[in-house]
Amino acid sequence: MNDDWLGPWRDFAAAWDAHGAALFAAAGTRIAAAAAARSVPYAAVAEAFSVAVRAAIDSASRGPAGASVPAIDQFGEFLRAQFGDLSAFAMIGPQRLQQERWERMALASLQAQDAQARLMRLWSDALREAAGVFAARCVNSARAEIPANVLYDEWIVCAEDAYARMAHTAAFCSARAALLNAQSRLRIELQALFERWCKELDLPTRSELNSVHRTLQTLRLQLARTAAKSPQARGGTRRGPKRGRK
Amino acid sequence: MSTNLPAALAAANRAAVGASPRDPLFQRDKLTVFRYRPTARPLPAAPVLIVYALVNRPYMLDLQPDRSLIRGLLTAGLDVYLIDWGYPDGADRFMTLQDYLEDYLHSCVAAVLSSANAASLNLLGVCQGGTFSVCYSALHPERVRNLITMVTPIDFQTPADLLSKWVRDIDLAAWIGEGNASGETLNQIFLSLLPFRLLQQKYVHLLSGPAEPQQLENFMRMERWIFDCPDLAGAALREFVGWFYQENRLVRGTLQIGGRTVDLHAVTQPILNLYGKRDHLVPPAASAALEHLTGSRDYSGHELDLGHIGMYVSQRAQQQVPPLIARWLTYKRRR
Repeated sequence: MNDDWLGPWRDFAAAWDAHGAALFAAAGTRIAAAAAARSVPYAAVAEAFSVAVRAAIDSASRGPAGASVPAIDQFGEFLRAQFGDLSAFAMIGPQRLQQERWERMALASLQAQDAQARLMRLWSDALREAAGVFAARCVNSARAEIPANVLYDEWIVCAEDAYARMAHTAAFCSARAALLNAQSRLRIELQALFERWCKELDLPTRSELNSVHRTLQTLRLQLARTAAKSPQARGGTRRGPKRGRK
Repeated sequence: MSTNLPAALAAANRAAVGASPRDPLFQRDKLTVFRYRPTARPLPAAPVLIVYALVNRPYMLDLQPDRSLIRGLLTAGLDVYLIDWGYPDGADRFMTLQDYLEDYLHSCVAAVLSSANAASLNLLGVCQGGTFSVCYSALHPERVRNLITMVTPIDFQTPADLLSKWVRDIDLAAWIGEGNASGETLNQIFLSLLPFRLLQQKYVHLLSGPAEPQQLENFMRMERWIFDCPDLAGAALREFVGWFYQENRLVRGTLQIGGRTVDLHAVTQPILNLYGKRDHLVPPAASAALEHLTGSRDYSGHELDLGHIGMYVSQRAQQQVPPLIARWLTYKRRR
């Protein structure tokens, strides 16, 4: 009997540690590098698994009768601790696509928050500028007796002017576009997520409908082209407009 | 503030829009061409086909009896037709600009020509509909006798064009993708061009003024129109924003529709170009650019002291715009 039946596990762990990460990193992209970093847990898990199995077997075989029960419990605890959170592992395996999707959603959400924060800062600056201009106008003209509605209209002019100056800046345009782009990416991922659930429930998806509509559109175009080439259509064009009225 | 304002607003909300009697002439999918019933002795002029934008609804042009561009044109004796594009839904998401111009608009023109027994017509394009009209006139010059453009963007990258700056870096593939663009979203973008005036001041004025039924009805009609935003066919909008706003192809001479280049030099018809000095959506320079881009030797441009919406509904517009168009068309006819 081979005493070192855990040897292959150690080899596997070593392979991941030594070559797996290097292979991923060699792919050269940032994502591949991140994946490589996350491949390390596989090696650690394999090593920890081999240690835990050996400990459980040793404990069960050397201890008194009935010692196998706590050993198995302990091993069960180890398994739960190790495999309870699958998200800690590299994006490979059956959940890879979903995990990638959640990551993209999280990234888009962060980008949207960042763009939103930039916009808020710009808005805040514009309002401060508007308030300054408004206050200066009020002080300069000493309009203490001016009705509230007139003051309000003046405030709107100041606010709209300050907003317009800010809205034309590259910083605002860029932040606004970044916000919309991030929200759009988030929506795309959400749609894909819902479509996956729809498929599980055998419900039609938007993508399937799009496919049908695209086919219809192509057929429609072909029909129009065929109709335009028909002798009737060509004859109709030659005849020109009818005469009569006017 | 009047204490019975909510009740007065509720009553005003029932005010009808669309003032002039009309009949459907042609229907295709969701679009309808209407012919307005004549109200005056006809002018010796070709029929006028109004091409409205895909954004918002065309009843703005005939909002109420005393605020109606169409009524003004009818009173001047013109034979008026209008394209109502309808409300696109999910089934229209792959409709392209080629579909709108070479299929829909082309069919509408054919229907009007057939109805009026005419060989060519006067095309009156409004806002984005004006851009469509210019493109159509370049592609089918033989069918357009005179071209009238109102608040029409031509150069989509003028310095004052805020909308253009905002959409320059938008990822259209992500934003629109394969879907339609929500009318509500587009409306929010338009309103955020003047957020303090359009989202605050006008309501403060409403609440602080007297609840005159007539004024409230006017307000509610406008309110209904502003928020009556059809979704836009995704593919067409993607092309429009990408080709016109982001790449400015019309001005650069690189625009192609259905494989054909839209050459503005092919537009040799007489052109009447009306635009607003205070237009926040289409700055005057964006419209005025038309003057030097076409092959027309008969160009007439008018910068009116009006805003984008005021061009159709303001009292001043009622007095200025329809008579100007009628006079210009009559003059063209006599020459």
